[in-house]
Amino acid sequence: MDFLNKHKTKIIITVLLLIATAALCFGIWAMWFRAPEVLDPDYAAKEPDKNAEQIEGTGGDKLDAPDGGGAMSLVYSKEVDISLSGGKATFLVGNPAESTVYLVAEIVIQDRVIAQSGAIKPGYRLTELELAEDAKDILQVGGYDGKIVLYMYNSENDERAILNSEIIVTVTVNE
Amino acid sequence: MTHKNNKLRNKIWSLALCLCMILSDLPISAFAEAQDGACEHHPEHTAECGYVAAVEGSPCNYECNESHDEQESTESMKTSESAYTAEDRKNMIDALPDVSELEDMDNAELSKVQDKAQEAVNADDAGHDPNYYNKDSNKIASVTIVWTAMSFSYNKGTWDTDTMTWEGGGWEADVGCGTVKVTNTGNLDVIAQFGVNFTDNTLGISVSFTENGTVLTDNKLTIAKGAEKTVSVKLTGDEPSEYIETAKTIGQITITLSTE
Repeated sequence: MDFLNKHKTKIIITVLLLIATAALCFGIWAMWFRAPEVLDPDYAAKEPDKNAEQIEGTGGDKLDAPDGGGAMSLVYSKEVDISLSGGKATFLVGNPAESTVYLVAEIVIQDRVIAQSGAIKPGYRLTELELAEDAKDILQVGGYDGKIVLYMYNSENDERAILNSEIIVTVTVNE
Repeated sequence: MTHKNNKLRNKIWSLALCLCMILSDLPISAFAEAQDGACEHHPEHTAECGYVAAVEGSPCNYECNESHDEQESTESMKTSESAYTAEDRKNMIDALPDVSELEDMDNAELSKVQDKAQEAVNADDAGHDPNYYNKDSNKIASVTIVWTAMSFSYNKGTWDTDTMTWEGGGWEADVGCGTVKVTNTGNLDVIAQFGVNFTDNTLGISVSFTENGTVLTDNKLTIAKGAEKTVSVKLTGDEPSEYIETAKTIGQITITLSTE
């Protein structure tokens, strides 16, 4: 009888130990290894970004894009300002109406995507972007070297272009 | 005696394991910030922290730090360095109390309101000026990139009847393919660096970039304002071991743009 009790206790302790280890592992994963919630870069966001503004005074002829190629007119800022309290990044990526592609922009700091846009259609510009959920946790007040990665998609068939672009930017993170 | 000791040991183990389980869940909640700004240094919102209960959109600005000295330096940094957006400025101005409310305030409260008003005024200077997004600004660059199809074929070269082998073979761009034209339409000189992200390079191909037949150093090209440069994409590699029936995508070209 005593032997049985002892055996039962051992099983309970083992099970509890396993549960505790699993909970600890989950806690560590949740704290340090959980992937940020951002879209797959290959995903063509067809919906225009909600912050995209129409560029005034443009709307001329499209650039002459060779068959199988593309043409992009790009206006951009070399600086990005981030407000941690506001949870947003302020910058400029403009895709004038002459372009034959639409853009999806990502702000990347130290290989981490901290913000991703929806589609920036020809004739539109983006000056503000909400930060990804975990951006506040990984950024501190100060300056960073970063980049704006631009994925291009054919405006007519949503096919991803053979060309990408990256813009080297100085990122200033504010409270 | 042994039985009692074992029982006691089991109890201690059980308690220790329970503690482990509880503690393992603690970090997530322990590191979560208080949403309302309350902490041991700042148990409740008062006029001291700039909170005005009757005005909508005026949250407490207090941020808990390890010491109040640190708090002061953080606040001064925010005033001098933050870049405010138009919406931030609007919120700051909206948060200021009405003139009628000023009559009931003492000097300390009035001084706080004055500071907040000054902060809103400064924000106009600290934020982006109206010409920030103008193409002529010295912080804005502008380029046009036009690219052809990137289609290449392997040319076996010519048959050498003496050696009975193909000579001078290699990868060639198909007609009208393999070029990228970059035009600097802005006021800043732009450096374009070309690169390839291979997605499938089982053919063992290497890529280089040339301008007027000269291979670019570090794949970089400086394009002065108003200038236009055309870069050709060159593929190097051995003849594929088997016939490629349908075109194969081996990667994507990335143009990295920077300014001097």
